[in-house]
Amino acid sequence: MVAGGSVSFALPPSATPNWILPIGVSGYGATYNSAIRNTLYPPLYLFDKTSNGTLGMDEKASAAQPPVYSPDGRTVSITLRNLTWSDGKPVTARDVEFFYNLVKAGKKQWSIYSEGRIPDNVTGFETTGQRSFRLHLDKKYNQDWFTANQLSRLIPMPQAVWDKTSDNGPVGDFDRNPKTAEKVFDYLVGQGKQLGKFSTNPLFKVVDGPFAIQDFSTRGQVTLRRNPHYTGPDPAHLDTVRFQTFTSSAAEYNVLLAGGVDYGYVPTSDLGQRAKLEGLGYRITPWDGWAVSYIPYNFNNPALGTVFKQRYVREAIQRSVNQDGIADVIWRQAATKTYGPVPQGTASKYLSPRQQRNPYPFDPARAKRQLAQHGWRTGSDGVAYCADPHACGPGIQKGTRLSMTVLSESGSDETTGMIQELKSSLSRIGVDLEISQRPLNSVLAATAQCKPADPSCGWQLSFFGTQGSWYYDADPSGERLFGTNGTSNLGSYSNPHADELIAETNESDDQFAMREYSAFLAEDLPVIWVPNPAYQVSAIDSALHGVTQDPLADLYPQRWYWTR
Amino acid sequence: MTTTETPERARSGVLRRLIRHRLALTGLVILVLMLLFSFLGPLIYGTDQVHTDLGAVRLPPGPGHPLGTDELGHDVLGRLMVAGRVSLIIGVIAGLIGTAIGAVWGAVAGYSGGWLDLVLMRIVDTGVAIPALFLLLVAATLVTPSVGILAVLIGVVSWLVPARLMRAETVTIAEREYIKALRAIGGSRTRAVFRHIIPNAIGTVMVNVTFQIADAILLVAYVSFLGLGVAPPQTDWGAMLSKGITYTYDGAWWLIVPPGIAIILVVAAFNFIGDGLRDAFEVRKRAAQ
Repeated sequence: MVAGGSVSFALPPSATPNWILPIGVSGYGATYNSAIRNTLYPPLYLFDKTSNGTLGMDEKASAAQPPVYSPDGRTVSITLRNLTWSDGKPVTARDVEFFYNLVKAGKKQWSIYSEGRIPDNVTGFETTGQRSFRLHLDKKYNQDWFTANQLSRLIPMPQAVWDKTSDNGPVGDFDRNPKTAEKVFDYLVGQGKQLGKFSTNPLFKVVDGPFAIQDFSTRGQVTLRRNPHYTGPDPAHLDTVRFQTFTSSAAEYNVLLAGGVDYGYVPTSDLGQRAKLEGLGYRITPWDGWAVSYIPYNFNNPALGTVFKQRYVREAIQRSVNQDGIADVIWRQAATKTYGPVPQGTASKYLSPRQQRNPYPFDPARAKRQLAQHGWRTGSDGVAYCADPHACGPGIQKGTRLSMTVLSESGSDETTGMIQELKSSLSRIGVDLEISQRPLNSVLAATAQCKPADPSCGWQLSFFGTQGSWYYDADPSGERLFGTNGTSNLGSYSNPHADELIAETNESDDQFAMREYSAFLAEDLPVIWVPNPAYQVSAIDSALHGVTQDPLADLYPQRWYWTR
Repeated sequence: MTTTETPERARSGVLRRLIRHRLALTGLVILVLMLLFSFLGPLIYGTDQVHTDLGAVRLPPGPGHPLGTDELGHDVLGRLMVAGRVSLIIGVIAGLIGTAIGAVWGAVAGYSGGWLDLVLMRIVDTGVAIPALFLLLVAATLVTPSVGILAVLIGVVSWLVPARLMRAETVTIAEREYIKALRAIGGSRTRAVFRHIIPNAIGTVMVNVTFQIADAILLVAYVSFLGLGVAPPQTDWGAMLSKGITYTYDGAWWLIVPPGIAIILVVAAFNFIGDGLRDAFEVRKRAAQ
């Protein structure tokens, strides 16, 4: 290992870091913002790929020791690690209380706030020592879920420096009064929006993470320097880390070829140049995201909603997805085959054997037989129609044709190829798939939750997952995605048993609740599961080590080091 | 001295001079061959351009696939044929639409003169200042592109240059005796424009149509290159080229060269024909004078 040195890291195309305040607000929620912020202000708990390759708590990077829950599950005790602010003062329970009070006062503006979740589900904050505190919860929760998806949102902030309402105002206990806490919240958010001053603002000079800000330009270039006052167990090896921004992936790629980036990415379309890049001294490795990709069915579509509600139809369609071909040939192995709601690119305790084994392997012949057994006959145009309504299922009229349209995002040859492959496979079982390509924002706008009578309910299938359809928190619970009336349940999937299982994953102590959920949704098919593309395909200088490509898109640059 | 050439004789003269024009004749031959290739070719050389074959992707030219296969296993020769249909249909329809709108717009402006001419031509000037490609990309994000929609969109953004040409031609024609006579006897503006001005500017219009078609084929290639072309599995030469370039470093030249050559040939053919027509009509004019 060579001590010190500098690394240049390529940010995603057009990425402009613009937020470092631990409290995120709407419009500033990009993953690269939180990745940079976590090196300055570590949250209570961080999760990433552990040494055994599974997703778990990263104790070294976390600001607190693992939580201890009371026997009744209604209180959780937390002890902070021996961290120090860069002004020399210790990180204490008061700094966590400060954060908690502020997000409570300004929760409507807190970008990750969801009604009933933290801070709503914490009924009291009790300080039990300089570095320890206890949270009282409104009810018992699944401890894995609460730690991974709730406690991980809490981030100590330097109360002794930040608890004020103006630049020159006094520092006090303003956060303890809800009215003044709101003013502190607004003041800090105002400071957080002045990104041109991040490197000079005295507020942001006080950090407790392994890095501090050296330079932060409004154009997106950020340089972090090692924090010499860091006292935790995860110090930085490098002197500086430079985050570089590019207008396009092509621009980044050109700089990569010229050796101007130590840790960059290869556009999927250029993966054919892998050997050339390796010859230039890069190692090429996909960065799997903690995500799943899928094509939601619109169960409320007036024309085909009743068809989609038939599980045998969904099974037949899923059996027509050639995941091996799509992942290996179209995505050039830069996508992970995914058969259910739990990400499969990174091993985890959440993945059920049932999902892992793929309940519906690619088998168009069987899919076609399945449709025939349920009263569907193939017409002269090759499209199946319902010949026997009793066998087809409730609500399906005689003569209903299996002809559907998928909205798909444009701009990616791989996505276009995947949808074409799907169209090809489906046509073999009598399903006619029309492809309507649009820009991503247009697809997302058209893929809305709806009632059958709504004019916006015309969409039938939709794909928006060129870079993954859904990125999870550390615990991949699906209340928002697949729970009845879930905020991101775009296709209005509803199954009482799925709801029960989702509730179990959130609230019960059952260690296997998530696996049961994983198995059930892999079988019940609320969506069409498709291979999940990598977060990016990285090109890393072969002399740069200590890199863990965190599925949750965190960076941990403190662990990077050079060997030359 | 004036000629007594009838319209029929004038047309046959133009055709004769066009055929004698070597470049134009070459263009006509290329065009006919490309039309046969695109529209009759699939009847002779049938391929499956709907189903993918992931077990046979990017095969180099060889037995069974004279031009190899693409990234989804489609036969490239067959795909070149069906893509040609799309490119040519869009090109021709868009060229005709653009020229038709431009001809009427320019004729009305040139014949009317005064404030109407001023307003109509400032609209044209403003439109010319906005790149057609930009307008197309915006439009393609609002509607799902299909052959018909792309043809209309391209046509609608390509009428500005023909409008300028037609206006200039109209100003000249409007000074001729028969137009003055029509005005004197109270002939309507509509009659003047549609019965006299446009038919007498047919040479300019015809030449412009060929250039407009060539431009439209290129425009659809650009739009497809940027990922906003016709919906798959349909394709056009521009889309084929765009996807082929992705595999440049894999050495898959057969995904790039054939569509590239097809675009060059057809665009060149229309330009040759346009040049020939211009020369042919010029001869007629000289004779008429």
